[in-house]
Amino acid sequence: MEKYLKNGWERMNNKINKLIEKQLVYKGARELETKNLRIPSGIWQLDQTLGGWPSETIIELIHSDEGIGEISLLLPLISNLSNTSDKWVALINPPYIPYAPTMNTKNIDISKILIIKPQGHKEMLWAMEQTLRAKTCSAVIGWPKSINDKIARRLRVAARIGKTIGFYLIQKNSAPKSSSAPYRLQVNKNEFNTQISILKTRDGKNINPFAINNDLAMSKI
Amino acid sequence: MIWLCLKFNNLPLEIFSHKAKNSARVAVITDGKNSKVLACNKKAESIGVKIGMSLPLLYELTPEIRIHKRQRSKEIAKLRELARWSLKFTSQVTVSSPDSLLLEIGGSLKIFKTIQKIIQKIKNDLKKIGYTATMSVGPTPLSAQYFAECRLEIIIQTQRELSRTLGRLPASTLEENPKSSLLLSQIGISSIQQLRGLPRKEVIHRFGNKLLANSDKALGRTPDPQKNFIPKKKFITSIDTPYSIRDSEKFLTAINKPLEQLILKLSIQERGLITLEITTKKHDKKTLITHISTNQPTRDQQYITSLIREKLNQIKIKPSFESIILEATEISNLMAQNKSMFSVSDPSKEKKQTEIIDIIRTRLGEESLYSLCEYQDFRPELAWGQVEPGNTISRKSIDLLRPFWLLPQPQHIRNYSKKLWINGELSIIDGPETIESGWWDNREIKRDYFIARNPGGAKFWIYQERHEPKNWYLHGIFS
Amino acid sequence: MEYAELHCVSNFTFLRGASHPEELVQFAAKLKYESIAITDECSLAGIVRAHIAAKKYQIKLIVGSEITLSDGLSLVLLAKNKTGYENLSKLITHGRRKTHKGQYYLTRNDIAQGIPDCIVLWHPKILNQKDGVWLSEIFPNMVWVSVRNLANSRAKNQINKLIRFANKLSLPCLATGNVHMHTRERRHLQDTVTAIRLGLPLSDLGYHLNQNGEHHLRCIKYIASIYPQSLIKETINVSKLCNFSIDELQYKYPNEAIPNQRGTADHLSHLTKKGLKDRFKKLNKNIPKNIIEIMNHEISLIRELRYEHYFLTVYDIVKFAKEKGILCQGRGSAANSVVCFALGITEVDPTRSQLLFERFISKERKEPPDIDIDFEHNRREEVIQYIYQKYGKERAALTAAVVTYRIKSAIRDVGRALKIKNHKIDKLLSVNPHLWWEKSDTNKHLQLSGLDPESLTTKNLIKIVKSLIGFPRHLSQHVGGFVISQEPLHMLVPIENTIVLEKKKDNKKEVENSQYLEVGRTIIQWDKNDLDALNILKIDILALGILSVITESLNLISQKKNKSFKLTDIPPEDPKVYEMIKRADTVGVFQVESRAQMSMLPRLRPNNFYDLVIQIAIVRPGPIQGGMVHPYLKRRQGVDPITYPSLAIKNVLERTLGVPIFQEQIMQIAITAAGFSPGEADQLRRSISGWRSKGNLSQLRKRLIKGMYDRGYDQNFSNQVFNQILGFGEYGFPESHAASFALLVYASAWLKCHEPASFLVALLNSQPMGFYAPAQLIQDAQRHNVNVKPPNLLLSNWDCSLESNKRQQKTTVRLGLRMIKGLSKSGAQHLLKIRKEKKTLSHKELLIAARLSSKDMKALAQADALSLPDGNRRSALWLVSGIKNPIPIFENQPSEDDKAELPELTEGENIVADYETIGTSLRNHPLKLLRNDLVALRTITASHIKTNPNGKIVRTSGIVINRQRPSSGKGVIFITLEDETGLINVIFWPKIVQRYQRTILTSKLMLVEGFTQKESEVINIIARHTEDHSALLGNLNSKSRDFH
Repeated sequence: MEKYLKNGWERMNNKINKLIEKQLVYKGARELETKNLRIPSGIWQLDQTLGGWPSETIIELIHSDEGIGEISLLLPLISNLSNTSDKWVALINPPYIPYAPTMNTKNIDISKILIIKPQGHKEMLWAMEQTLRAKTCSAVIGWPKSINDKIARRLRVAARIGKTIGFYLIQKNSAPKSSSAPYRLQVNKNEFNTQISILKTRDGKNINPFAINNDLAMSKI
Repeated sequence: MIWLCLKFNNLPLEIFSHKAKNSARVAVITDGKNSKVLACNKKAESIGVKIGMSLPLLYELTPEIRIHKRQRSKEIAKLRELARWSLKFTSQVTVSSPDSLLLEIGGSLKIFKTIQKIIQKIKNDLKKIGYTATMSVGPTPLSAQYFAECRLEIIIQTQRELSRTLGRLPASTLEENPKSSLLLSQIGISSIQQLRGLPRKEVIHRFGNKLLANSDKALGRTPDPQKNFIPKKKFITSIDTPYSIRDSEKFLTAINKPLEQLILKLSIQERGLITLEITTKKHDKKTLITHISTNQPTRDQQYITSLIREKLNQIKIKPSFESIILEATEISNLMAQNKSMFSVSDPSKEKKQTEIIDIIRTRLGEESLYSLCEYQDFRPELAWGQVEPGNTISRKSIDLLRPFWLLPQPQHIRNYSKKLWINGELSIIDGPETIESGWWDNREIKRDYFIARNPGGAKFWIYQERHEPKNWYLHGIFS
Repeated sequence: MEYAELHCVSNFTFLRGASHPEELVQFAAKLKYESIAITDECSLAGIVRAHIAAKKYQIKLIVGSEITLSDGLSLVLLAKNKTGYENLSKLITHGRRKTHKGQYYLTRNDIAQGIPDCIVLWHPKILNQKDGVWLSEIFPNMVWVSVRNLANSRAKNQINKLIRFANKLSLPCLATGNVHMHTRERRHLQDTVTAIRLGLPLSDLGYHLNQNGEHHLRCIKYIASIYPQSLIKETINVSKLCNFSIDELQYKYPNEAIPNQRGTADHLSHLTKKGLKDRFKKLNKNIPKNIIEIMNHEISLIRELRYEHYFLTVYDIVKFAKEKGILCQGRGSAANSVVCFALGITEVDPTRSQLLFERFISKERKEPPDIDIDFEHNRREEVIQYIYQKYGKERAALTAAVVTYRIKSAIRDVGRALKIKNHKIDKLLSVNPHLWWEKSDTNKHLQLSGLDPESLTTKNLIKIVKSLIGFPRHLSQHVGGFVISQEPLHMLVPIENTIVLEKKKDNKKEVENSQYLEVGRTIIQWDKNDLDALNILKIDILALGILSVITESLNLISQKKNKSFKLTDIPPEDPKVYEMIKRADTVGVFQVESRAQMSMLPRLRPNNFYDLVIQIAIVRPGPIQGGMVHPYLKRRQGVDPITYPSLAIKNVLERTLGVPIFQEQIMQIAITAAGFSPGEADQLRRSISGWRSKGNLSQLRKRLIKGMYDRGYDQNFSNQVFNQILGFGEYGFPESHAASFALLVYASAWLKCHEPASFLVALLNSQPMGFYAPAQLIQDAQRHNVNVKPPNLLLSNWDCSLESNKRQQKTTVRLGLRMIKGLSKSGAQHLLKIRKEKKTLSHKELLIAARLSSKDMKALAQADALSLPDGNRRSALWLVSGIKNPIPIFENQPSEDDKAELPELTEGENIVADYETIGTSLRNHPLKLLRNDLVALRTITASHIKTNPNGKIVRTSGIVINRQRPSSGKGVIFITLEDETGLINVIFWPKIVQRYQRTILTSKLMLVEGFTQKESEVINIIARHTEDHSALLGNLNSKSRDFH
């Protein structure tokens, strides 16, 4: 980790950025986050319980298997942001090819989608931080191999600087037991529907798991 | 004033000559409908190919001929290149389209002594680079050009010689107007001298002003100012480095000044930088250190510096060199680029939009970042593509049921005793959707697609080949 | 399970359907469909073919059409019965007649009154209830929702949705396949025609293509697995409702031509008898008994087959032409009958030659009579307009000609679809594809054009072109075949327009007003084979240039003689005329002026009219391919004995010395020698000309050879007969046809022989026609002592004319202003008008008064037609180039010092300018000026060659006036050279062609060394060496008039 910090992103940051970072991490994190900005998620259960996606922070999305509807949770948001904002929606290290025709039929403006395929894990995290803090991305969605507290914290800071919403998706078996991400959600699937459990919110609110009606992606069949 | 005209009669052919073997028959044809032969090489000539021959006749004569469509833009570029080369001989060069250069060599005689010597030198040079030209000398630019057009390789210096020789040229040389040329030949006027013998007023009444005006210019009776050729400037600066530089920050400091100069040069011409090459030089040996490229033309020094810094961090600099050279290898007009790819009116905002792209690419490489676009193709793997961010063309799509994730390569699905298996047995919930397409290129597909689900609830897009052995593949994941 | 396919387009839905109607019908029968509907888009053009195939393969055919309204509503209409068919045909006519060629325009208004007795299949693109309600109101109980399963995305879901939608509207549903091809294998072709239709390469078509190959006739088992059963059953229910057959159509000939008081048959027989009497009265002869017999036989046959109306209608048209003084002549199988002779439809005198009428209409064959009428080519339009006027566009229309893909067009279009570079295709097609297509050197040709024969693209090209050849591309008009009916034609077959109007902005409006386009001609959607199959009569109204020439010659002679001189005044069997023909002195004579005919004349030596009939028929690709020419020649020259394989054949072939020459002789042999019925013999002939039924050929061949073997003919003879049949299929002449033409040959030959000046004038005024350019016609006439003078501003008319000069006995031909290149007709006519009004004007004044465009004035001056009193063409040009238009008269005149000292012209320059402006020169032949140079090259003249015996080596030279490469000649090239003394015919064999290719293809002035090949009076030179001396022509300009 030490080495990674040295080689990688530290150099990239200029002094002012470093200053802000220190300030935020050690002093005023909570104060600044209490603005409590929310973006409508397009999923009514979420909007009711959380009031929409929290903005300017990061959210951890744990899912049991690929293809169980984890993306459909984010589709309304991507569609919304791509059509209302001039900024990018960055997908970092997606596991497969995000299929442009499908995005088009889901009413996503694909000209706003930026795909970033870094070579390694470190590069991936660097790119995620850069995009989060660049102020030119409306949302950043990443697929890290693994995640730890320290990284989560850095990303959280970056999201705040960039005023961006960030997600990272991670499979259940790679997910850490605990995380410094202010929000953690888990997606499960049974025969009929997709279950969402909200494991953690910033204010510690306890929310019961809920089901989103079948797979959104399949709703048109 | 002594004018030398170089007329590159074979330019349309010679720009292709490096491509052909010596033994090949080559012809260049005009573009557009009813193509005709515009030029051909000696080999082609020897079997009867002639300029102006129609394409069908050409093919009937010799099926084994290499044919190029005329490329005017290349000819023009080549002519400008030749103009730059000709600056060796004089500072006053005029590019006279489509294939001539006019050189004022009176001033060069101090260096080259005689006209013949200049011509000989030019000939030698041309031979080396593989071009041929008719060369004629006259006291006025137009007379030199007319002599060359008539393929008269002569040197005329006195007024008397000029009016006598020019008078013998065909009158149609004076104006490239088929109507005038036709009428001239029909009334039996073949030479310029004959033309000048006719009542001036009546000639102008019938032919307009140009014929006689040109002949006056050629004879030097009216002035004929020429437009000087000015080569495009290179945007290059350098700095000598007497001390050794290892540290990248020091390197950055060293190039600060030349970079500033470069940007100043760019700003004078309202241009912005797209790619920048940084080279070091020691004993005339150049080493490319790095190059950066930007998504949008820019003159923002701070930003350029930050890109260079990012690059330098990834390489080791060998400390021993004598100078650093910065060259803007690709530049673009800042104004022209204003038709924005993004619907943002504020240019500073636009710059920022693309900044993240440059940052990511500078570190992760060009290919690490892209945008998506959709193509109209039934073949799923060809219905999408990678494009430069901002270059996505939105196309009208038809509503096909497709997954969110596509696999880069379809994966063979194992099947156990005829049951399909991906983390459990698959059950088919929709299909088939038959896709057969692409027989015209080498990527034909014939597949029946289905949607299937495994016990874990994951939904897959799978297909079976329509041909034997009818294998099953996983091609996408709904998510 | 039974299934009927009710929505199926053939390749008559141009560039959409990818199978012939016959293929669809045949394949549906093979799949055991209960029935198949052919529903081409707003068209019934393929329905007759489908009908014939359906009978053959025993499957029920339903007639229908797919129609898309202007707002996108797309329906398939199926005819329940004859009324339904008529209404459908009327609707298609309505949609087609409103707009341009090849298009249609229909709106909801056009069907709002319903289409009675038609069933509607509706496949809604958007599930709009309103549309459903609207349709079921207009077509009560006749609307079915058409449900497709083409294995597209969400197919099953959409079927269910559609069924629910239909249920809500209480409309029944049925299964359809939207079929575009008979098998899946046509997929590539179907995609390709889509590319051609949209004008894009395949790779750029994207979603314009079909997603898969499901649009074909699928097997019933599969269909049963993808549609609910009820939907399949419903197809049978609908099929049972449709009970119309094309056989029910009844065609009625118009009865305008019959006066009320008399019955049709009586009228015809009355006219015939009267006509015959008049004919023979003129000849001062009694009607021979056998002629009366034949006439009675013909009339009774006509009566029996009810063809009276046809003959009377033809008679009416001919009568109109005669009243208007338009020369015309009938030909064709029925034309050379006593009836037609009596009615004035043909001039072939039945007494003049015998046995001409073998192939009259026959009972067994049920083949409709065939009469083609040729009219003067520049007056045919009057006849066409008369027909339209008399019967209206409702009842008269031209037959369609189905324009199909040929090798060249197929390669070009498929090449474009496959994105093959244009210049590669150009290169590929620069050699006639017939020479290499599907032959051993195909690959070589592909490679030479830069196409790798092994590449996928090239393989696709070859494969697709193969199946595209023969596909219909569009309907065009037959050269002159009119169909006229008693009832509106659209009750029988849809009618459409043949013209493309310029697109106007208010075009849409025009169409909305549902006005028919009344400009241009109209065609029916069937071609002549369709008409034949349905026994519908057509009359061919054709144009023939020589008729115009003959008429004009006759008029000129009448003027000259100051009394009427008619075609019938030409004395028959003039020996002088035959002498001329035997010499092959036939430039300008109808038919026998071609190089092939000319070379045969001195060998065949025609002595009488019947010899001419044979001459015309024998020099045709058919007899040449069948190898009849030499046997006939040898028998005629008495070298070979005249023998017959049997007495039966002797009867057939006696008049042609035992060698079959005419089409009907071949058929008769099949009948008498092989036991064919007349109908079978005709089928044999037809199956050869149609490409589609070539499959039958080997069977027919077996039958023929066996039939002949059984009757004792040897294999050689029967093979020979079969080969002759092959050749005749497309290229043979029927005897009646040849006889009609022979009349014109004789007439034009007589005119050339006795009235060469008038004949020349008429020929020049009818250009372009025939084999020779004006220059050659003029030179030929000059050699025959006709005096020809150049065009002249003050003396010429627009046309060429005769100038009589009382001092000289000789009449002079004055070339008309029409000869001058670049002179507009309107300008010239205005000039002539002014000249007539103001006779006293000087040249210059006339020019100014006529206010010609500067282009016209320059054309006149350069042609040396101004004939200024003191000047040449140069000063004339200087003068007119100084006159600027438009100018007010007498103002801004050229200044007085406009005379310029221009160089004098040499003789050579004048000749060159003459050729450039009027295509010929009356001064001197260019080679006369160059003769010294040519003598230096040791060459001799054309007239000198004639004195040489056979087999001698000669060197000669001439200007190349004609290059021919016969397609059958395997690389032989014929070149005709001309010098100041005449023509020189040169033959280059392939070896020489290869060696001297460049010279042969590019020279203008050619030197040839070779052997003379002399037969009778015709000399060919077999070249062994040649040189290009075109450069000499460049020296012409400098040649002065001082030549020897």
